[in-house]
Amino acid sequence: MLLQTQNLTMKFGGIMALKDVTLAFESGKISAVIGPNGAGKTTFFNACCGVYTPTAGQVTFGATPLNGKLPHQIAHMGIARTWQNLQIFPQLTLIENVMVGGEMRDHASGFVASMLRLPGVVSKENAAKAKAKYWLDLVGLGDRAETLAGNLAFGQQRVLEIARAMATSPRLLMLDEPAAGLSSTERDALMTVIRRIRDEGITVLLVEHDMRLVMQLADYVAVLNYGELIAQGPPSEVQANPDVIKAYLGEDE
Amino acid sequence: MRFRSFIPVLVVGFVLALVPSLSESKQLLGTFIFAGVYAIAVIGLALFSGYAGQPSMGQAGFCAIGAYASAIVATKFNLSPWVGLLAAGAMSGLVGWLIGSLILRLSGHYLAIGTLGFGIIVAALLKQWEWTGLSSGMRNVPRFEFFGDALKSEAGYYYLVLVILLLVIVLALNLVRSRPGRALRALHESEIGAEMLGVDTATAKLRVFVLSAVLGGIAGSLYAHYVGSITPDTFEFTISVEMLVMAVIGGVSSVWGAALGTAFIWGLSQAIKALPDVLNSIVKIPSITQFELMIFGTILILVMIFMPEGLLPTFTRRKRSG
Amino acid sequence: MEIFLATLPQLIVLGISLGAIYALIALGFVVIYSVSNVINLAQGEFLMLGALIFVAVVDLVAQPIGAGLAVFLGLLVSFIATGAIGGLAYTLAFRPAIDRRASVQTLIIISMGVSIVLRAFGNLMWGVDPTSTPAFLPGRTLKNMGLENVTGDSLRLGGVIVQTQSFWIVIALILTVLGLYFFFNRTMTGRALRACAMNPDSARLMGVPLSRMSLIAFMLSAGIAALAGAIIAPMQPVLYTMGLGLGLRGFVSAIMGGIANPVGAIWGGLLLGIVEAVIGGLPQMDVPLLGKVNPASLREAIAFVILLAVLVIRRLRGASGLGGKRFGL
Repeated sequence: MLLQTQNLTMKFGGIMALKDVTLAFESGKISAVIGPNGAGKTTFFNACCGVYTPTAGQVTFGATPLNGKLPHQIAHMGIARTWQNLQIFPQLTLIENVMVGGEMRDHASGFVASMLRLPGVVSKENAAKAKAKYWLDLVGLGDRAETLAGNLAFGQQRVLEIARAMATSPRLLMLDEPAAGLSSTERDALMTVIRRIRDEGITVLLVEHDMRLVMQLADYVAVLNYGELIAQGPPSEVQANPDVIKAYLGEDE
Repeated sequence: MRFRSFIPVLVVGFVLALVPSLSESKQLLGTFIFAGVYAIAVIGLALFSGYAGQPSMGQAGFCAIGAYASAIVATKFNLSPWVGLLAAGAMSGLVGWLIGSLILRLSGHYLAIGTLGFGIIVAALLKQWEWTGLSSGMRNVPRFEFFGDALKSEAGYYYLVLVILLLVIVLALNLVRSRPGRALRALHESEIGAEMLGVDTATAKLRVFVLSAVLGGIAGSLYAHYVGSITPDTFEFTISVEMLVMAVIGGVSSVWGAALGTAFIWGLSQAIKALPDVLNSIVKIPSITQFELMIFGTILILVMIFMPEGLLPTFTRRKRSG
Repeated sequence: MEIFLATLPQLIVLGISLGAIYALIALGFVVIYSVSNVINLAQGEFLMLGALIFVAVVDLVAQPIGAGLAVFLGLLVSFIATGAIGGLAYTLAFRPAIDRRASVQTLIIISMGVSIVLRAFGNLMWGVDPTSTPAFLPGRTLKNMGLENVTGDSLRLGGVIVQTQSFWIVIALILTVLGLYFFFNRTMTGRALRACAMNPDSARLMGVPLSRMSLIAFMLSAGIAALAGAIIAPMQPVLYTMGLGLGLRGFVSAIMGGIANPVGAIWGGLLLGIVEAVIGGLPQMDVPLLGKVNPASLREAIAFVILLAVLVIRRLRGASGLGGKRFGL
């Protein structure tokens, strides 16, 4: 199991956003967390990757507990993510956006070296650029590398976030509603990209509204409702679960 | 630094190097020297406020620390002014690190007022320190020694400031175009986005804050050794505000913009000073300084309304920052 | 030290009257910020203009209509004229920038430009010599009314000496707060302003004209600052530079209270006033490194140290407490 949560609980004021969520996600698979609006999916993501400090409970990555770690420390351990409300850097070009992720292990060093532009700096930068280009090509944005990210269409910004996250060479990729706002062609392209990422041996965890996409992609699905885990298992099983139908599928279709 | 981006530095350096041969007016060279000293501090401020997007209203506080450190080394310990320059950078950097560790936890308006408070505290403490002459400050700060009296003339000092300024521009450009610079620009746009890509945003901000403090300190030292006397009021908080205006008006996310903004504000105030003489012969103006200030304020407002990104980005519309 | 403790009640009373002024200025910051998201650093200049206009009006009409009526007329003219200047500043300087979607930083710089222009205007109109004006209720009037314990324009109450003008300051604060409360809760315009402050987008969708609301906010804030200026006019030299320090303190008070929180701004102002007054009364001390230090001259610096401590502690609490959000999302 790559990522595990143990009784994860998150309270905001008096509101219980997550309640005793215990889950485990298997290495090398595509897993999904689903649920109706306000079910706590994004909160679950934020609590896992250090954006929120959980009120109670544990998050473990591999064998390491994540509690109390800051997002950048979690990123360094091998977790990358995208954002439902997009956190791209609009005034940076696409290639610069992706390079920020690719240069992760070097951010801490080289402040002075960069000012003097020592030879090591240049070669590292070229390597980061090549890696960034690889991921931009893979998601189909390679020809727009020098455009400002703010000029991209919404759907392309989503894909850019995936390229950027992949440039950090993660072991786990967390996608927060990757298909929201995408056209059906873009959606299909997205599924190809996600499968491709899984085939490289990277574990994928996604939060998604689009049930069709989840059912086609995911090997394992967990369902949240009002912050509580109500079902988990392979997509076909979850789809047939009466609780899930009542809470989610029933009102959706 | 790639050669192509080196060209503007060479051109600007070459043009500015001609100034002393065009005019021997001590006053004119003095004006250029002040502008150059300001530009060094403003570039420091632009790295922190512009690239990293963190408002600072306390840059003059670091200039004060640098100026006093330099003056103390030279007059109290009788060491070479060069040692003073190094001490100025080190001291303001150290204070920057201490203060930054504390107040960089704040953000937005809270950070702005925190840095403002820092500047006011520095000036107030200097006024209380008997050793440094209380409100009347320090005098007889010597010039730098270099090939005898080479830096004692206005032209000599001008070249010293020019060389340091160009060096600062090159180093700053290198920084913003490489990894740490990208990380700073990224955290400016989305702090959490940058964090999640492995950028230690707290450390990155602290580092650039220290750098900006060091540049402020160096500017303060250059000022002290040029003018020869300093008082706490030399570095009061309106100077911090003026520096922020210079950084913003040039185009705050840009090293060249900071330099341009300094030149613009400096040139503008010089030009306006000449204007009342002309007007005064037509209508009587009660207070020339206040009249200047009104024009200055009005231009500031107009530039901010019509060119909110600052002068440089508006004129060049470039794609990349640099 | 004993002397200091003995004067403590006196210092606190002084602090409250200072603080009430800071609170009034801070309220101006809060009203503008809440409605239009502008940090208006020109608040202090509105105060300065208010004080100068007040003094000018009182000087002009005190002889023909009598001191009491002159004060009333002065307050009215000062409120309206400065309010109009505030409206003008919004229309000419802020609105064009807001219409072009200027950033917060741009708007702050514009407000600095407005301060520079207004300060220069104050100087051109009224010169560099400080003027002053008599207290609203001079000591001799009180004496004539049969009150004892009056020295100059001060009144002895128990062991505490209070300037008569301090009463007016506190009354002004209370009346202003009541007035604002009534305005924001009971009038249509006030309610529309509150709607803008809470949610500008939905307010606009519901047909509230945002720019007119901002105009009103600027006029109102400038008017409040002018009142503050008029009321402290008898207590300190009235001069074109007076806005700088007072504006800064109002800003600090507003920030301490949490910039969009009027009640916080009032507490912030009172706290700052009391802290300043108490520090001002501390005896001279030996401080390592600095030598002999007179705390009174470090008032401003100490006030900022306290402000920084408040801000950092508040931030740390918010960040590290369980269940807290670490990043503003």
